Amino acid sequence: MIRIAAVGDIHLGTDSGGSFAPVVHDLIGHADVLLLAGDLTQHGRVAEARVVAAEVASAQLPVLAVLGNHDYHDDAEDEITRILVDAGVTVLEGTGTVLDIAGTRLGVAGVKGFGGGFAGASCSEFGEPLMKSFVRHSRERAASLGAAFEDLTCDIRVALTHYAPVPDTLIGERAEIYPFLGSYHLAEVIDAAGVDLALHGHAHAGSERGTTAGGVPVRNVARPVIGKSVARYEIAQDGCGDLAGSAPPASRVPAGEADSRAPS
Amino acid sequence: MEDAPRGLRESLKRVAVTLKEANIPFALGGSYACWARGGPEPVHDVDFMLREEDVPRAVEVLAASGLRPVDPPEDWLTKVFDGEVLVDLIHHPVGRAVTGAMLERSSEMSVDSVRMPVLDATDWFEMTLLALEERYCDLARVLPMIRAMREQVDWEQVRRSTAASPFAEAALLVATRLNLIPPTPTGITAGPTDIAAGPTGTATGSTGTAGRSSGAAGGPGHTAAGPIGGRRNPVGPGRTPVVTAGADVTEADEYLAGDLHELLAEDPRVAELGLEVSVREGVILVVGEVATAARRRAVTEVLREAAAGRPVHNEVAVTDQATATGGTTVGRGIGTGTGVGTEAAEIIS
Repeated sequence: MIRIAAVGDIHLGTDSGGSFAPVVHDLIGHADVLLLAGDLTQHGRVAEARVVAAEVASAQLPVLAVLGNHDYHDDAEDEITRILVDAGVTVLEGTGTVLDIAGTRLGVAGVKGFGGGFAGASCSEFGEPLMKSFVRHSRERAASLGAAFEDLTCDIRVALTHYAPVPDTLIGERAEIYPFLGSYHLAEVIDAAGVDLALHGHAHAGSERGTTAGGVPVRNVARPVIGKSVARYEIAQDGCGDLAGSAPPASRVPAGEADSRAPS
Repeated sequence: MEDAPRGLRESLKRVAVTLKEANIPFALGGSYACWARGGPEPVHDVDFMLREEDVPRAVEVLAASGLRPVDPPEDWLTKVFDGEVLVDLIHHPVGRAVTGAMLERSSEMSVDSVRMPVLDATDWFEMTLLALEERYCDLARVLPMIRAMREQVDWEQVRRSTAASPFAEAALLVATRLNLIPPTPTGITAGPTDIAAGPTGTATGSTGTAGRSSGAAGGPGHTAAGPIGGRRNPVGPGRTPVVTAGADVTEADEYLAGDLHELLAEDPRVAELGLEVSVREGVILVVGEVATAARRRAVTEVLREAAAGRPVHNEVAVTDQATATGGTTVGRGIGTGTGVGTEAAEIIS
C-alpha cells in the first residue's frame, strides 16, 4: 500500500518561513511520499523559492512537485526549479519518476498543465497567434505528461498537475473561468496512461473529488479546497485499499500490457 | 406522477402540430418554453401564446382534432383538454396582449423532436417576472429558471420593461448579486459626459484626479515592487499593465471593481487571484482569503493607493496555513496543529 500526502497552492512568501516545515515533519510515519501540486510560491520569486526549499529541505520522505502559474510569474521558473532540486525536491515538468516503496513501484508523472477548457467548451488553435499559442501550450503540456507516463515502468501510477484535468473538481468556481482553470487534454492522457489517481491544484474555490471520463479518480488538493495542511490518500497495489498490506503484488494492468510493467 | 410529464409532452406536441397544420401563428410559452430552453421540466400544464384574434380558430381546429374546449371565466386565456391534460391558450399574459411581433421574435426550436416556435427568452422573463405578486413571489422557483436561461436573455430589456414591478426588481437584484446576470451598466445609459459625476456623488471629482495622477506615475503598487522584489523587478519596461496601473476611480463601479481585482492579482505584495472586489456606493469591499496577516494588510494598502479617497472595507480572512506549533489561527477554523495523522487517509480503489 502506498500512502500519499498531497497539497497544492501553498503560496509561500518571504513572510512564510517556518509555516510549512512542521507539516512536512509531521508526515513521518503517515506518508510515503509528499506531492506538491504547484503554486509553491506566491509570486514566482527566487527569494520565495528559497523559503520553500528551506521548509522541505529536512523532509524525511521523498518530495515531488510540479510548478504552478504563480511560480512562473517572475520568469524565474528555471532558477526556482534548481533551488528546489538542490533542496532534494524532484520537480516534474513533462517528466516522471519511479519510487520503490517497500517493494511497490510508485510511478509519478507530472506537468504544470494549462488552461483551455473542457470538452465541448474549450478553446481551439484558431485565430490570433496568441490564441493559437495559448491552446498549443496546453496541448503540448498535456502531451508531455502522456510521454512521461510511457517511460515509466511501475505498479501504481499517479498524475500530478497544477491545472485541472476535469471540470468536476472545479465546482464552486464560476463557470465563466473554467477555461483558465484546466484542460481536458490532461484528462485524455491520464485516461490513456491508465493512471490510478490524478492530483491537481489551482482551483481554490473548487471541490475535492472528481473522475475522468475513463474513471480515474481526480482530487483537487489546493489547500483552500482540502481545508487542512495536506490531503492523504492510500492506494493498494491491487487497487482495493488493502490495509493489511500483506497481499502479494498483483499487476493491475491488463494481461496484454503486463510484460512492460511486470514486477522485476 | 412519473408519467405526467410524458403525457404533457404528448399533448404539447399534438397541439403544436395541429396549430402548425392550420397555419395559426403561435409560440410555446409558460414553463415548457423554459424547459425547451434548458430549464426544469414542468409537471402541471402546457401553455401556448396566441394573438387574441386567432384564438377562436385555434379552438375550432383543436376541437376538430378531438380536444375538449372549456370556456373559463378568465378573460386572458382559454383552455382545451387533451384527455386529462390541460392546455392553456393565452392571449393576454400579465395583462399585455400577445402581438404578431412577439410571435415573430420566437425562435423555431426542436421540442421533444417536434419543431415549433418557442417564445423568446426575453419576452418569457418579462412575463414571468411581471407575474410575480404579493401572493406569488417565490424566488426559489424563479432563480433556477434564470440560471437555466440567463445567456439567452437581454436583461437590460427585461429591466426596462419590468421596472414598475417591485417583485421583478427584487428578483433581478438577487440574480445580479448572485452574479447570474450582468449588473445595470451604471453611467452608460446616462451618456458619457455624466460618467465622471457618476455613481459616487460630489467627492468623486477630486479623488478621481488623485487616482489618475498616481496612475500616470506608473501605478503605486508597481513602483513599490522594486524594494520588496529581491533580484528581479517584475515590472520591467513594457510589462506595466496598462489597465491596472492605478485605477480610474471615476469610471463605473463594476469596471473599478474589475480593475482592482486584477491589481490585487498583479501587485507582488498581494498576488492573490481569488479575492473578490465589489464597489457599492463608493465603498470598496474586498472578501476572500489570504495566507498571512501581512498579505491581508497589503490588500488594504494596495487598494488605498490605487483608489485614493475611497473607503476600503477589508473583509479578507487569513487562513494562516500550516500552523503546526500553536500558531494563531485567524479567520476560518483551520485549527492548530498540522492535522497530519489525526484524520484517516482516503482509500483510492
